[in-house]
Amino acid sequence: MIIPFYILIWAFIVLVLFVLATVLAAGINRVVSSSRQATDNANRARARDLLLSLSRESGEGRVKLLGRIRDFLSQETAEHVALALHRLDAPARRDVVELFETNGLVSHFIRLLKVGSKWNRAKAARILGELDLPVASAALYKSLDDRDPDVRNVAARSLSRLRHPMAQSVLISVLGKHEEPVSSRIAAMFIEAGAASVPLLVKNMRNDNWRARFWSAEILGQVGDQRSERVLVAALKDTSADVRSAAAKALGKTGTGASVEHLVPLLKDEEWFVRSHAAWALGKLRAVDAMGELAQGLRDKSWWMRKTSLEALAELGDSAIPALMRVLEGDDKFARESALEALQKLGVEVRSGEGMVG
Amino acid sequence: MTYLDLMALEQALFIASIVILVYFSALQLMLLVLTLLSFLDMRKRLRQNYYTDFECVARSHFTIPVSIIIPAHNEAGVIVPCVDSVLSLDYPEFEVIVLNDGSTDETLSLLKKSFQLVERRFVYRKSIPTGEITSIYKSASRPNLTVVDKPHSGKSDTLNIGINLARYHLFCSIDADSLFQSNALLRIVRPILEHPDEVVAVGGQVRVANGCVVEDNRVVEPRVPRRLLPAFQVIEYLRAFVASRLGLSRINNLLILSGVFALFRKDMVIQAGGYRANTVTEDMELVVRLHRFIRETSEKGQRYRVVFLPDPICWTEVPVTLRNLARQRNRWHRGLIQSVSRNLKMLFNPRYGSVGFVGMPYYFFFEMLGPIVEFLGYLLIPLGYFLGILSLLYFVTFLLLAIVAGTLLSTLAVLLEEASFGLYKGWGDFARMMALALFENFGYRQLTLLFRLKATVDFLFGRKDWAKTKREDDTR
Repeated sequence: MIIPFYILIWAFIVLVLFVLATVLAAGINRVVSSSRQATDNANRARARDLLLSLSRESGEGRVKLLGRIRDFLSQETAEHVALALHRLDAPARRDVVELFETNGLVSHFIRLLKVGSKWNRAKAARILGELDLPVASAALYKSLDDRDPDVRNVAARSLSRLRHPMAQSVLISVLGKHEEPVSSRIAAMFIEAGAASVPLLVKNMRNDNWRARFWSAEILGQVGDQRSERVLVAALKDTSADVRSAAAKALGKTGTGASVEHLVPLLKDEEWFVRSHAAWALGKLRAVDAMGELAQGLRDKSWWMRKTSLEALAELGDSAIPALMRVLEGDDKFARESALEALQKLGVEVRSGEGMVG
Repeated sequence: MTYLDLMALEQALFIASIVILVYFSALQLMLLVLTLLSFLDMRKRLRQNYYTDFECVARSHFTIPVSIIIPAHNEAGVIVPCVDSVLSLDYPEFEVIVLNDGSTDETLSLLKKSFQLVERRFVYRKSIPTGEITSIYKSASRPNLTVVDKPHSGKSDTLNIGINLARYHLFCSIDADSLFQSNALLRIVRPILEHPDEVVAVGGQVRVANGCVVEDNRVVEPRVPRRLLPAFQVIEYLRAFVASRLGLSRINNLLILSGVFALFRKDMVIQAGGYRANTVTEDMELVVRLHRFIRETSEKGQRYRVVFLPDPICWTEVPVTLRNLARQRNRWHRGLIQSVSRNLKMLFNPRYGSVGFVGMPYYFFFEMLGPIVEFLGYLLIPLGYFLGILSLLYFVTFLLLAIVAGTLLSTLAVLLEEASFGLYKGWGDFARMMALALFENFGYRQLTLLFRLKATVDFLFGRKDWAKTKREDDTR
């Protein structure tokens, strides 16, 4: 016998018990989770109903309702109430947030944000973001340096929801300081704020940190405010290639004809992505004057530059046709193929064989 | 047979039994550890999802665009719904490239008619050497749809053409016969958004579509199929995807991502040489090669990850007849043997880090050699009984023990599904899943063992084709 029979029997019994326990656990899980789900749904619905009624009530009815909300509000239900706050008008919102303070929940969640377990910190960050209190924004700001990336993400998301002006000046100071998701969340907030955030971003283009300048240029491009043109043109000479590239891209979206002469030298930048974004921007700005340089771009050593030059020429419309026809006569097989495609896009009939490559 | 011969045979049987016993114990232990790791990882992923602002990702200008590549060879029955379902995915910027791989049915004409295709010349870079293209079409109605017509050259070459044509930094390969949750792309891209420099590939979860209620090309009500064969595959997929792959992904030792739904960083795939022709399962081969390429070329200590995520879900039709199941499993197992044997150099080689000591040994000893050892086990134990070495009671108990250990893994996989997604809502489906998990190891497992054993024999005798499973419509 390899192993004693009684060990086999015991192993068998233990495994069977484990199987039964697993089946039982799955069944219990089903019952418990559906009941937890039901409680959760009921709490969510009740929070929503109570808060919606608050907007309709006034006088004594309103006082009574606030009392009911205060009784309902606990550590367990706080998240549901906080997530329903956006449905309220300003006065009603202020009253409910005050209940959070009087119930001691604000200080509870601020403490949780500092000392709680990972997911409790995330939960606290989420709730505090919805409350939109100056006292909470300081705690959330500190959480951007939390040891856990998930908590940092939630904190960034919560900070970006804050509406008071202080939040913007706090957030701009950390732009580009954190990893990609946090920075892009903050950037999304500035884009949402639109023109109001432009002065801050313009100022931030002088930041010593190239990442901060890069993100500011990216956002300025998305916001599309012409007040940023001057600072973006200046950034075309930035020491960081990423900033030059982002500024060129932004000018393609927000610039005017005045940017063209500053973008053209970038078609000879040492970095392919800077050249490529400059070509793209010139196309978007319909820079007919840069046609010759863009046609040169079809011979660039970088495939992306050739591709964007082609697309830029196609953007220039009919005036690019002579330049493109000239490329068809050149030696470069790829440039010929690109020019041919651009001409086709412009609806030019090209005779069979012209510029065709095998 | 002399007494001495019998003694020698008894001795050999004894040693073989010990080897098999150790092997089975190690296998079950490994699978159990992977399942436990999966439990931990699943908990983390679900919490992360709860706190992730997917709405922001869906609207953000900073979400990385994706090229979706759909190879199609004789897919007339499914291609239009599939492209429709992919085009309606919730994602800020993506393109869809359908490659008609020399279909002899109506695949291309249906696409032309449904999406108003217009032939266009198209400049692209042949980063990976491929076969020729017949023509390229752009859709007049859907600007982000490109259709390529090409002579039949196999799935690998077709996918490589798709990679060459892809405009974006990330590409997602999908099968034409699959259905996607609308948020699948948003979910699968998440690890790359978080760690753009580290993550090179992400796989999503594949579920069984048979029996599910489908409306507008979306699975609206997941159900466990009524037919036994696809129903067993529900449990099998849960075990493979939710339990085992999630665990392997947690320790970054995942060597398989299903080609049905996987996202890759294009630059890494191009550098590694793209999909390789003459492979039976191009998806596994590519992932193993990516691991190998990165470990061989990157600087020491450079981090990279191949991730499996449980929440981007795609639904696929599984075989409903034994014949088709046999063909599919034969192909899968031959592909596994091919991928592992081509990269045997990685086995226990310190140059390949943990993949050389955990991932590769796991696939070599347990996945590749598994069917042979398991078959020997089924053969030797009765032999031991007939030769009088083992008693009947011992024999039966041993067999039951092996089966119950497998059952535990199946029920754990169902528990994991229940505790995480709980997609199958009805108690009837729950009861069916549990019954299937309990009985899967009595018959179905042995059946797939035979298919894999046959694949091993086929591989040894040089069968290299890509046997396609015949389509059977089994959704509601």
